[in-house]
Amino acid sequence: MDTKEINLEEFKNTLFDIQKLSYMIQDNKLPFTYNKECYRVRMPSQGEKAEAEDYRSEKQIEFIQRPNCKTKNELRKILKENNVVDIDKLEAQANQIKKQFKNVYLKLAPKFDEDKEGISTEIEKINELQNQLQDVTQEINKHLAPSLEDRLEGVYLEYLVYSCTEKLVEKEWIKVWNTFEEYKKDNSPLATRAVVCMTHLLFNVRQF
Amino acid sequence: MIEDKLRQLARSSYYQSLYKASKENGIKLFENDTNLSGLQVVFLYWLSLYDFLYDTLARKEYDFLTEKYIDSNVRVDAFLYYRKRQNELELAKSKEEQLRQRTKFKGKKGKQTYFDVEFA
Repeated sequence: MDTKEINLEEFKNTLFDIQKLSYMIQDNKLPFTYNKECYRVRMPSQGEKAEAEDYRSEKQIEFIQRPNCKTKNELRKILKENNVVDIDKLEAQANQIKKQFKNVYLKLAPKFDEDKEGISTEIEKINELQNQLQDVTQEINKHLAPSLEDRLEGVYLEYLVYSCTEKLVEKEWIKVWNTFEEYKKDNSPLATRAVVCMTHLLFNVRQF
Repeated sequence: MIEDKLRQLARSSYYQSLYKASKENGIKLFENDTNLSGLQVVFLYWLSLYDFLYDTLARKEYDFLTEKYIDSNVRVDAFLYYRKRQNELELAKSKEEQLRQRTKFKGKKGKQTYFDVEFA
């Protein structure tokens, strides 16, 4: 792990601090500091969302013309045919784990506080199942990451980061990158931090 | 995990009181009224869920449900599934009961006719 990664991990951990989180949910903007300067990412306006959608559509047309562009379904097929991995089997495994979860939940739920041993036994089982599920899900995601759908999600997120990251300059919030090209050329940790913040702000909730 | 912390905040007495006040008196929960962030949407979900759980606790609907219970995320997850399953079973049972109680009418030539009657 290099220094940049360690810093990013530390940065992610600071976002999980309960007091910061309490502050973060007050508004639809997420402030952060970088090189002792104040930045923020904010929720995109309708117009910015529409722009990001347009950019995604543009990229979709571009990607599908490339010979190696594969959709999730195509990628699944290729992975299976070449004996790399069977995603269907992994998904069946994930569903099986989810079923086991439900059985443990039914045992755990009616337990009284006094039954400490019983509660901790069931919670241990749940933790174990959670780890198993996480491993399977990560495996699926890792193999499907090059798919058209996942790449387009990434493109969309990047466009929002470019549109909605601002810096505090003399009491005014101004855009960090003037053009999307400028953003794409920026390899500094600032761009990565802004992506992390935007991911947390959106929190996988698609309202658009 | 960030969601665990969100849940911790949502069940705190401060946010629960604020949530009640926002429902009853329209007190603002957030700085922004529109364009909620994903984080805010998820937080609202947990606020309403814990509000429901504390109400359930006050009504003493389940004898095993305590404040300590509500403080445990895993136990709350288990409870939500348990409750959902219970509701599904009750619904299935009542549908079965409805079928059993289908009104019987004797028609011509002593033939029995069944009518499905939906009980609200």
